Amino acid sequence: MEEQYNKIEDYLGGMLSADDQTAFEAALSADAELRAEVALHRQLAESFADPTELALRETLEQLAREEESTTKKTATVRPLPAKRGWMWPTLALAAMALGFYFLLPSIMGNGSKLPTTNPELEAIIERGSNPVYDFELSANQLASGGDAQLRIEGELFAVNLPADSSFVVEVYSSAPEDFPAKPLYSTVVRPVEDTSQPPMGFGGKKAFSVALEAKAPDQDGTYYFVVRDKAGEEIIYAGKVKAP
Amino acid sequence: MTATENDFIQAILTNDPQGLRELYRAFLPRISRFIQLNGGSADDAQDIFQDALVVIYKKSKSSDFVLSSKFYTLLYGVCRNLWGNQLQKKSRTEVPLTDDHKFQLTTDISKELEAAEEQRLFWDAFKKLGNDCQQLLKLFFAKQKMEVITQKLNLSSVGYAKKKKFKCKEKLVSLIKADRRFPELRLN
Repeated sequence: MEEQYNKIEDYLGGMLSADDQTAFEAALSADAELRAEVALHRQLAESFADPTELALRETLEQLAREEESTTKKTATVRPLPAKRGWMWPTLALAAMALGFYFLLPSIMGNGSKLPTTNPELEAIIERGSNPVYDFELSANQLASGGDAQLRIEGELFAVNLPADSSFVVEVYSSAPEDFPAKPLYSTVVRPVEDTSQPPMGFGGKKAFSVALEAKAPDQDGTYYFVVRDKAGEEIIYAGKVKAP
Repeated sequence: MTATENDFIQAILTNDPQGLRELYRAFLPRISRFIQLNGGSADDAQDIFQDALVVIYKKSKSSDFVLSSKFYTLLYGVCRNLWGNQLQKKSRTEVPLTDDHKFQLTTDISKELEAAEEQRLFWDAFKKLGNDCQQLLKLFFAKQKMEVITQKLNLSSVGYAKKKKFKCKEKLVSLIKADRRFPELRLN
């Protein structure tokens, strides 16, 4: 794969020798998949070629976040005509973003900047929850007796959950080399149906409560919690907490 | 044109945060209302607004660009076209804008409009990358030499930088391909 990327980049940059170029073009005309790949790489290179444009995007993202913090608090959700069924995912996302916005301070503690982060886990957090098992968890640290406890709790929204469903929850430090091989600890959690909440508007999802406690990490820093399926394979959700 | 009208263009061209903030305050509420009255969310409005400013940036970068209308007229026209295109794609059933689909613009921005959807998808994927990948890829796409990138980002070796560049780009490509909008993209 890496070789293919280099070849494509050299081809687009006009860096191939005459012979290599002829060979590559022959391969191109025979292989539609390769053509699509080259097209994607070309478009990417063009899209990101202007650093000023990217800097502008970044400023605009920042401004959008500022605007959000002033307008979203008063945002209202309007009812939509039924035929615009495709809007629901967007609304769900907006609602989740809104939820996350209010959760954020409690997770990160006054919005202070985290000292170190694991980009891979950040990307998973950014990706959001699995649509089938829609988790919304937050974590905080409790002092109980001598040992500090880390409490992870929240809701799981799902249309249906078999009676004995369980998920694996792992806690990682922010050290990139720890993920995914070395979780600090790993435990099994069984969601319990929360009958106090009516099924949600979209997709008739039911709410399940999730709660677990673990020994808090000894060192200060950012910790990630990762929810996986029962087999401990697919990552369904990730969140983070700053300790202490 | 009054000085203020061209000031907005200048703010976009020079990436001036204060000027851009004023631009947000002055125009985002109006654009947002328009999008929300036409089946969009506040988040859709944010994306469209950002994409429109990038379209205007690209257009005004070219030397033959002259602001031939009020800035808001241009901005509104671009937003309207972008949102119109998205509505067409998003909905199987017809969800027309309240009047004409393509708002008439005096400035020809068809090329920039076409690129906007693809760039939105690319940008959404790029945002999901970790900070180090973003830094590295920005330099790479700006055609900096790997040696320069290695030095600027304080990486251990050129070989490592190359490896990392591949990893980051592979991640970016896989995020793009996983996007539900990707199959509709026409790359050429």
